Amino acid sequence: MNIRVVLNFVGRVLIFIGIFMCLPVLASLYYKGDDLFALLTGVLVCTASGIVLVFLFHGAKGDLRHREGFLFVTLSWVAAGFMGAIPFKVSGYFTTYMDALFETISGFTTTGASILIDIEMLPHGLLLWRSLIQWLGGMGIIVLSIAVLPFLGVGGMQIFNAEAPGPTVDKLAPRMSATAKLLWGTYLGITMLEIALLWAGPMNLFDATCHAFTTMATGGFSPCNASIGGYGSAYIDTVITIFMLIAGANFALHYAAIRGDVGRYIKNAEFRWYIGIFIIGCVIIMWSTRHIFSSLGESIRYVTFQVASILTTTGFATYDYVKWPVAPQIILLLLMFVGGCAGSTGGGMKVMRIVLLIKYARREILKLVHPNAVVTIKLGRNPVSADILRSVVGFSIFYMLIFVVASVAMGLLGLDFETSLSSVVACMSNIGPGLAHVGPATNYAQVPYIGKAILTFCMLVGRLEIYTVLVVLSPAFWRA
Amino acid sequence: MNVLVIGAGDVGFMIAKRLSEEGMNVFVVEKDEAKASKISQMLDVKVVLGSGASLKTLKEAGLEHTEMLIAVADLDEVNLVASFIAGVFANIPTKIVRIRGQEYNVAKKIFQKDYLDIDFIINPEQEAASTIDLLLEIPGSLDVIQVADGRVQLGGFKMGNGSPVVNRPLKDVTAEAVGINFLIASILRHDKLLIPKGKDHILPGDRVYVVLDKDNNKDILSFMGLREKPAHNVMIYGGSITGEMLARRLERKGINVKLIEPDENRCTILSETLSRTTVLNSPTVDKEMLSSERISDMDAFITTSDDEEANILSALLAKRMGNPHVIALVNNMDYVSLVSDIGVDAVINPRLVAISRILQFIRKGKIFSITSLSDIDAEVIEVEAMETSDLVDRPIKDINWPNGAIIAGIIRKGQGGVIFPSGSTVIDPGDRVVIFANKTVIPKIEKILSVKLDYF
Repeated sequence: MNIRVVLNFVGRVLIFIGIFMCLPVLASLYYKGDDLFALLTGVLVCTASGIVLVFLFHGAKGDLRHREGFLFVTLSWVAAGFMGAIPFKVSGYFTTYMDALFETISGFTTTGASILIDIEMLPHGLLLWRSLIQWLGGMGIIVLSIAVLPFLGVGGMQIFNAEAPGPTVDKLAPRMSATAKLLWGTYLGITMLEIALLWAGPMNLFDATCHAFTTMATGGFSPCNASIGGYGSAYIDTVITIFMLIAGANFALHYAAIRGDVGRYIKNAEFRWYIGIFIIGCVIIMWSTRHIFSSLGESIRYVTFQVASILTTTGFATYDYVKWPVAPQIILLLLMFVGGCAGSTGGGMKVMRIVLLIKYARREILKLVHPNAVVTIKLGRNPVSADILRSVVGFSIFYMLIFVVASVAMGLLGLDFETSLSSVVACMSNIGPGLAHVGPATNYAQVPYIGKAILTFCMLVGRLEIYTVLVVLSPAFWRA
Repeated sequence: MNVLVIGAGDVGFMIAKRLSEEGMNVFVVEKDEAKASKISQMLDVKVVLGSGASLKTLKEAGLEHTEMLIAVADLDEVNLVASFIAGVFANIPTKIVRIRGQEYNVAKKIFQKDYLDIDFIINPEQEAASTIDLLLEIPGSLDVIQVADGRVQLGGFKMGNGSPVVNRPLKDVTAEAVGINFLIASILRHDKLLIPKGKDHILPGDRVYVVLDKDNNKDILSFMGLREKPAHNVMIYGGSITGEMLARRLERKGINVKLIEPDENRCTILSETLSRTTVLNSPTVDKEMLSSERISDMDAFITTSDDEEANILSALLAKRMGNPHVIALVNNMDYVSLVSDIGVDAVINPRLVAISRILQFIRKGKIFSITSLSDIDAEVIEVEAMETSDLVDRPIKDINWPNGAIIAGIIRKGQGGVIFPSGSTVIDPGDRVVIFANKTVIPKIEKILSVKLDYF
């Protein structure tokens, strides 16, 4: 294990994050908020600790190999969380550091779970920082570092893989740094488009920027207490529904579409399943909530928004679905597990893994009926390798195990049944709002501190797709 | 620059690694899943799983935008079909193809411009045979680098305790070398490359690179206490394709060759195809056989069988019994430096040879040639001295030369031999300069040469 190189690189990522923290400083200066000192402290501490790490381990030699890659990514995220929380704590709007950390990790992991009761009292600088960390975490801070900083061009794909969602990563270009640049360019471009569209509607530029940041990251933080629902605008609801669905799809497809190959969407099996799941979810929920909404138009507007918000793991709300009957809530809970596509900014288990699991299970049945059958599992027309299948099955087992253990822990802390289960799923799948006491109209403020720590861990594990974090925590990793 | 490499075996892997490190966009096509996943984990290249003979796979690997195709898959036929498809569906300026099969030798026309249009054909066995041939020309050498179309050679030798040049300051040694152009370009000690200065010593066990004039190297070799007699009697163990090619080359040069091959049928074939070579059928190489075949009279003993353990062990046995120039063919790349440590003079790895030949071909351009030392991070660069560069019109000692690089030779138009540079030598514009440099100082050298060594 070459820890010196890892720490050196983590230092560089911290400097990078410190530079991004200067953007909210500008906002604070512009709006003359009382958060200037807190943000400047954040910039200073983050950059300084980065410089210290780089300086201490200046002479570190060697590449990031397989193992170091996992450690580098996990440490970078944890360090980013601790550093990003500083402005929140120093500002005094968060009473404890644990609360600030919960909010920050929730931001970076694009979960969107908040402990804030009154969001609107926060000054503009902190609000922007809250949205910006989601945007950075959406496409990934390491992927962004690879795109911008030349030093990460070393090693192979494992660093990329350790952060990027989904079992496989499409390389858009032969070089990792070029791929990262294309992904971030696409991400930035679509975000700009959304800012423009929201701004054109009845939303001011600041709110439009914050919302676009958190939509494209499938994050779900909003600078308004009532989330998107507060605007009461069908136009804004529609725009955000569409952009949530875009953010939950594979960005390699968006890149192809921008280059003129729009047909790739239809050709992509995972995308077809994703849209299929979305439509089926909408239809079932619309049917089971038919007595609640007065017109079909209203039903379509609220249900599609909510299903897109949960499926893509964004977590915006325009309607307090906790008041719905049980059936639609169960559907939403199930959708929480599914999440977005591989290569999207969405969380959850990913549509691709769910599809492969279903096909894997179906193959077992076929094999029992025809003992000699040779069945290849395919996604679209492409056969899926045994390695990927194995990793998908292992991933799902771990996902369920962590879900079960964390839920039991939450129950032991005194939370009720629905809240225990849904808070863990909502955090692991990086959605934000769950059901019952952690629903869209409420928040995580009343969860005990141990519970917040457990949920923070769940968010990180979920965002880094289980293996990256678990590998680092395993004893075998630290043995020679 | 987009490069498409077909086949991620040893050769494909190493080529992809070097080119990607040099900043090229590398696509790799490999049909074996394990190999594909290994290379995608280790290198910053795009890997496409599939056959190199499939248009779909090649298109996925960016065939349309490829500027150089390097087909080094295991099967000749895949390489040929890949270059054929590439020619039909895309316009690729440079095509390099590995061909092993002897059967294609008679149909060389298909490689020409009107047909497959292949720019460079690499045959690992043939390259291995010609490298061994070159080593035999310089007795006792373990590595030979040719520059300036072979007019300058850099010979690598392992220095023993008995040599008169070891354990003394180099400036004293040089002072003794009256009338001999004696220049040590570099010393390789514990896998590190040193550019020696006057006060440095050569230690026993060092590998030294000496500048040799092709036609006149006897004096230098004897001055260094090395074997000086060119090989005249050679014994080869292993009638593989490489062994057969080598025997044919040697017998053409009038060298007496004995070729030992365990398989009787293969012996019959060999005796039919070779003319002056004595083919011996013996199941193993043992003391009895070696002494009865008079190993002590042999100038060189070369092992070229397909069994590398047998190659290494029989080479060691021959070394102990008769102390000839011993060269062993070893396929496992990791064994190469190991084997030369335990007493075999020179180790040939056909894959490393192929890699180095391909890289040499690729890098031809503004610079005449550039050769990577196979197992260390150093390069031998041959470049024309530009009028605008800091190299010319001043004595060499006034050039702001980085540590870790040395001018090993100068070739001037109209002059036959090599100019061995000293501190007061002045380089003229238009001279060809041979530079020996650590990889780390190459950027500084580029500055002095005022030429970008981007190889293209």
